Amino acid sequence: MLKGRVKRNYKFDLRRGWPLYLFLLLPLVYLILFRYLPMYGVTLAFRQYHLGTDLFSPINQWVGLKIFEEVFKTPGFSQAVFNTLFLNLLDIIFSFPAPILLALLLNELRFRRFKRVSQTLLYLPYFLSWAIIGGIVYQVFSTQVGLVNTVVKSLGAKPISFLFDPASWVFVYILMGIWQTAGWGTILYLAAISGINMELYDAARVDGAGRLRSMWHITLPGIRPTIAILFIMAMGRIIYIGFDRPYILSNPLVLQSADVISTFVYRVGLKAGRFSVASAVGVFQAIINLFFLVTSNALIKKFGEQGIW
Amino acid sequence: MRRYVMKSVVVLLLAAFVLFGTAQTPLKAQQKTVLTVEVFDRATPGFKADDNYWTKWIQKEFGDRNNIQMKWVTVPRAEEVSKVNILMASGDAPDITFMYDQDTVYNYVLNNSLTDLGPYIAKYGQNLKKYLGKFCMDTGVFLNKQYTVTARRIMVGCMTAFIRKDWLDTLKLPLPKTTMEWYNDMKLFKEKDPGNMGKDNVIPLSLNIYESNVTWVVRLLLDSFVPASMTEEQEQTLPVWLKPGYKEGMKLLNKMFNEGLISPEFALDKNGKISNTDMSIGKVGSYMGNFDIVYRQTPGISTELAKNVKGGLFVPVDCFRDAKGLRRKRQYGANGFYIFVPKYSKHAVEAIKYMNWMSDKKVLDFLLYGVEGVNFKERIQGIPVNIPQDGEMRLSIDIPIIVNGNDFGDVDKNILAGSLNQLPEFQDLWRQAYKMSITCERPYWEMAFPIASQAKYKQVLFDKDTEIFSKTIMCKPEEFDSLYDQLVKQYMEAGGQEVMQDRIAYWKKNYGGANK
Repeated sequence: MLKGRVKRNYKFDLRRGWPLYLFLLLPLVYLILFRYLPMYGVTLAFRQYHLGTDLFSPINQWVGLKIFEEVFKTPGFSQAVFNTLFLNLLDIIFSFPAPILLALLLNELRFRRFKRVSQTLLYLPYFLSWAIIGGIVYQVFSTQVGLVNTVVKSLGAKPISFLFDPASWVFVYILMGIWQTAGWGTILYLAAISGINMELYDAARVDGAGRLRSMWHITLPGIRPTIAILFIMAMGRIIYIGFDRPYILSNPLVLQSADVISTFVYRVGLKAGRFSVASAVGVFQAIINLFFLVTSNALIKKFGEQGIW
Repeated sequence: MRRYVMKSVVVLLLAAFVLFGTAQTPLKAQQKTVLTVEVFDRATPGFKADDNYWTKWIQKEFGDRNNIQMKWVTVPRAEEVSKVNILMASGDAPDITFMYDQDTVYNYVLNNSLTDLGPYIAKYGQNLKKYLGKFCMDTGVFLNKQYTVTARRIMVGCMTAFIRKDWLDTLKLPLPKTTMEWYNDMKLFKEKDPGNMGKDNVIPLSLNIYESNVTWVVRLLLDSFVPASMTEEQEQTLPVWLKPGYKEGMKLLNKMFNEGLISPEFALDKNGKISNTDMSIGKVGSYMGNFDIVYRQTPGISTELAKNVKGGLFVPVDCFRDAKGLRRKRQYGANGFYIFVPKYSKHAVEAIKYMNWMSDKKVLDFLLYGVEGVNFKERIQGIPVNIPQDGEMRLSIDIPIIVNGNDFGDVDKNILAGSLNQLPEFQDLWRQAYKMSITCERPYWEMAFPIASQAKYKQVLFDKDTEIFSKTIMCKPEEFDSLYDQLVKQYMEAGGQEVMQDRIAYWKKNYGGANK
């Protein structure tokens, strides 16, 4: 028996758990097929690509970093990078804590049916596409037909043009982001909260802790690892920005604040048929992301939490 | 037992994969050549762009007889450029692809991505060559090679302005005859509110953001400010913002906006949807755009207007005149989009054969007019009178790709033919509107130059265009001059300068000396 234990190596593991490994095979194949193999496309960023030719054909000459140079020189690129970082940073500051707060609040609800109904209602916006939310934004914030401005006008004040002023546009942008994702984001936190030992709450109550106290000293520390992981992941996406949200919400008057990397790539890369440029921007984004991911992971580890590796 | 269950699950999963993977193979049995053809998808309710009566007919009449399987590749009309770009890059572009945007097509030529159609047309496309004629063959030539052919365009009229006849009648006003008369009418519309919409709701002039050609909805007005001294070289080489007179035109629009005469939130209206709604519910006094825009079956502005407002009617109005009383209007060239075969396509022969077959009068007439007894019953002067259909027998202008419109060899007859495809109640107005669009003292054409910098900067400049357009119209009157100059400067720095210089160089090289 003892001998057998010593001999226990990967062969033994394989023999014993082969069905489990077989299960793992599928996700692995998926990762290789759809995540690693397509990476050959990265070479596009270093070649002068000719539309409609095979990527590996010799016409597409290697040009080193020339395309990156071209990208950085394109008017509007630095503005797009700045806007992306700025909007994402605001998102992290305002939208990241929103689901945490919401989860804490939901957790305090004692009437179960009410809790369930409000949870479901909070999830709903997540399933709406931005095209629809864009319509809602117009219905709510427009100076002509907008809900908010109808109230403002009936109070005798002048309508506020939320969507035309860059500052208030950013406000609307962030607000709609929170509205859409906060409810959905609570799922993970609520799951984490349900894993907290109930005895801790009982003990705290015996010691005379109120609801706020136990929230602060038990619930929050209890979900600290979850927050940390999600924070790392959010930081890792700081330079990635979805296309729909800024594209649909933007208008010509706020373009200076609304043109982000994804919309830039759409215009300069895809619409103009310059795929090398689009790839170069993608590579640039990936490098920045890697940097932020590693840094925030290291930071989190420093604060005594487990990182993602 | 547990192990047994697990094993069987794994085996089942694998089996499912194997089955799923092989399920598709039997299809390969057919040994037909597959010819893929692009078709615009206009999202017409109840009509499938790639599967309808006409595509089936083509399969039967052309495909089956030549052992060809026709396959249609839909491209949403509004995503013409971006979708085809992606198809071209991924190697999925159809054997017959087309595009209006000459800059992008030229980009393909420079990338060596297109098939030289010359030899194929010589061998298989004699009818096609004859049908298209010298002009459309020549406009398809790039770098001395027949990389593309262009479709014929029969109707060359571009744009017309419209005004609410019922509002003018209520105020006992005649149709305006000059730009300033029109402006005064707009002011009266706002002040007097002839439609009883409530003063705040009246939109004398409706604008929107037409992204790829942002001045389109005010072009007639701007053109009335262009002095006769503008040379042909200036016409063909200057960006719109620098054309003589355009700044004054924009200034008038700025003034109108500040007087409340323009839709306050036009900058949010990226596709004209809000404009269309406003016109349909009767809030709008005037609109400029495609000569037929208010009479089209979809979105059906005039039809809706007549339903919503008793007597509500848009009529064409010809009031935009320069200082000397002359009218300046843009005209289309006599060619439509560029049709090409990607280099990697293996079916250039079949592609040309298909278009050659289509140039046959019988075939083309069938695709243009449809089935007698269904799509038309009677004829006026030999022209079939269209009966609008819904569903798969709805006539589609996107199937007969080699022509835009139909030629009866005579302008008046062509106009009549065009109008007979319209809703019966608006045919007369449609004819008036079209005639107006081609009637003027100073017609002009925008020449398309194959220039690389244009393809490169175009999309960036489109955004700048929308920015200049919205900001300078919406700013305070006292800020207008400096803002206009500042934004145009940015435009020039963002690539406008380079494009302009390239256009000037091209002009000098190819047309130089003709205009000194």
